[in-house]
Amino acid sequence: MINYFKNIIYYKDLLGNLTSNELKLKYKNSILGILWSYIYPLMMIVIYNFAFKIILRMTIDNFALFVFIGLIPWNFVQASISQSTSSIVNNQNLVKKIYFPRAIIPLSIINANFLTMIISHVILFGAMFFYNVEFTLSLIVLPILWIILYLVVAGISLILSSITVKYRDVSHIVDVIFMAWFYLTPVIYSLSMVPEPFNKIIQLNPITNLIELFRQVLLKGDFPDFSVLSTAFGYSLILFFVGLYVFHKREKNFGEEL
Amino acid sequence: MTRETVINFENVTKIYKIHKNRPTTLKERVINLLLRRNKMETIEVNVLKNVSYSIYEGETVGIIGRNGAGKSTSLKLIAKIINPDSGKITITGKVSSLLEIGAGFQPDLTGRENVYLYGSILGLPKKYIRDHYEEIVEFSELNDFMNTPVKNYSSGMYMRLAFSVAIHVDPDILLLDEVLAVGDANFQKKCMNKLKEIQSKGKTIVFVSHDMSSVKNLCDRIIYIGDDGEIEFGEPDFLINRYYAQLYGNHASSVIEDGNEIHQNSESLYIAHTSSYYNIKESIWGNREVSLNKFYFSNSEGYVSNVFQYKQDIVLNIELKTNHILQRLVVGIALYDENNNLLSGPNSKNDGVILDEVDHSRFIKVIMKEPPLLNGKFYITLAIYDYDCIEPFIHMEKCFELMVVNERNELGVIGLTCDWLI
Repeated sequence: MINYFKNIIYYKDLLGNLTSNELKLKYKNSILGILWSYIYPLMMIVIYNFAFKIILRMTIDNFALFVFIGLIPWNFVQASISQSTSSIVNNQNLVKKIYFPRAIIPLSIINANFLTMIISHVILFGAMFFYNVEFTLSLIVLPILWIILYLVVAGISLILSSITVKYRDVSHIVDVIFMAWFYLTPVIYSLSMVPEPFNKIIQLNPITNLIELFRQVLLKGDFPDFSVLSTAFGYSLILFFVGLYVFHKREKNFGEEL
Repeated sequence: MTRETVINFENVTKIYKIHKNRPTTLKERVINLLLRRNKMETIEVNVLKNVSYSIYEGETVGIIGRNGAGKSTSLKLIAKIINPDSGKITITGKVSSLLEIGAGFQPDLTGRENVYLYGSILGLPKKYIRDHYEEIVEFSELNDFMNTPVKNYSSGMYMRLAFSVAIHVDPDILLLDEVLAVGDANFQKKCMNKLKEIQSKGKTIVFVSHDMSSVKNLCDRIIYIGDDGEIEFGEPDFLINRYYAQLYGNHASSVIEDGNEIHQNSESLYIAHTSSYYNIKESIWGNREVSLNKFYFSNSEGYVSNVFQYKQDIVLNIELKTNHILQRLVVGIALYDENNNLLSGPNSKNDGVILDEVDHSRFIKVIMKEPPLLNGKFYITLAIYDYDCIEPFIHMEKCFELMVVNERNELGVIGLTCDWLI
């Protein structure tokens, strides 16, 4: 395990290169290029604002901002997991021919989406300025939340991508799960709106509390409890290494299963 | 001198299971489980069977064998892309595998970007690539195209760039799978020189090839994988022969026993190095008063082989058998290239030699002196005629074959020796 992790570190240049390819190729031959990573969330805000604020008349203050803060981590989760699930299968010509730690492939996809997420914070800060939300010192917690989110997503992605090699319909199952998962995550509502027995269930979702933490830090300007942060970090670290372990165990068979 | 073992195979067995109805989706798996259809029909292909060998540091080893014999599998095992079913493989040192040139190239990226990308896939640090970038581009001869996306490259350019990166990897052990046939003759020569340079640095190279001239040229030793998954490890010349013997349908019974000359007086039938024509009725005719007891090629030292170098003497060892005394015979041979062009058809009468008498049996040798054959497969016709060259006793049209391997990259069938007074 430790050796495997070291091996990934050894191939860090490959990880970097694959990540930058992922970003470069995404917007290659498109006129607006990297601007698309801004346009997409902006459009989502407009749409959700129209649907929920104007038609459904949600009573949350700053609803556009409220949704946007939920959407940023959510989009990262969805894009990373659904893209990396079939990543090993999609890169089988590479996997069958050259040895390198295979975990690099899903990790590069996650990295690319991670960078996109961080870039989209520029828009977020712009919107916060627009809505006169106060910028407080609690923002320094934000990178910690990013890292926790990264570890959770990486752990899940590593497990799913390694299983997909054997059972190809996992990627379809993931697509279906994401439909439900979106509504089970407090992106367009807040956890406090959920009635009694269900909020416990929704809290089982590892993303739920993270999104709530994002809102606490950005919207309310509160410092989260240190204990909450450290537990979240601990769990996410465990999830990451479990993912890495499963992936490493499964990796040996990739050569033949592909 | 005891050299360090860098690759060690210990009783390695690799079986490929070909599943006829293996569930590849969860749905199938579940259905199979519900219907209790969990018996899977599998065909087992024994690719490597209980194989043990060691490769030492600084050695260049070629792996030869027929298609599907397990050559690439061996390399994948060394590269840890797949794992053996039983046995143990120990590798010491950093391995770089070039199982397929250009796997991982990204068509939309430019040549320069791909150099960095492919280099990092092969495990090179960025700094190393930056330091060797000029060298790599120089080697590929693609200076003017480095800012062009590789999707606009010709396939030759593509391969050249990939190979240039690959060859600059500086591992302890280099694995090459059939990747030497890149580019034009000139570029191939460059690759060959580069490989020799790597050899001289004391690196270990393991490579798979069907090109026997490069195998012969580069390898210290050879692993020959037979169809049964068993291997032989030994000298290049001997095993290349074995390979050709198998490839061109000479059965194991007629295979060269060892380096010794076949006993000239033994009664046993020994006809080796036959071509596919040998089995065709139409290609042997004559009144059959003469038949063959033995036929094999050897070099001038008597080493039995039908693989020769450029301008190496080729000896035809022939033992004739007759039922009664025949007199005044003429021996003739003809040499054809692979495309059935007659290259030469000498006979003994023209050279003033006749076989005056054959009684029961007679051993003769025909030595082709320094034949300027360049490369490839050649057929030999053997004919025994009467003195007037009208009545054939036996005529065996293109019944035997030999190979000439040559390191020189020259075109053509014949290599003329020229003096260049320039």
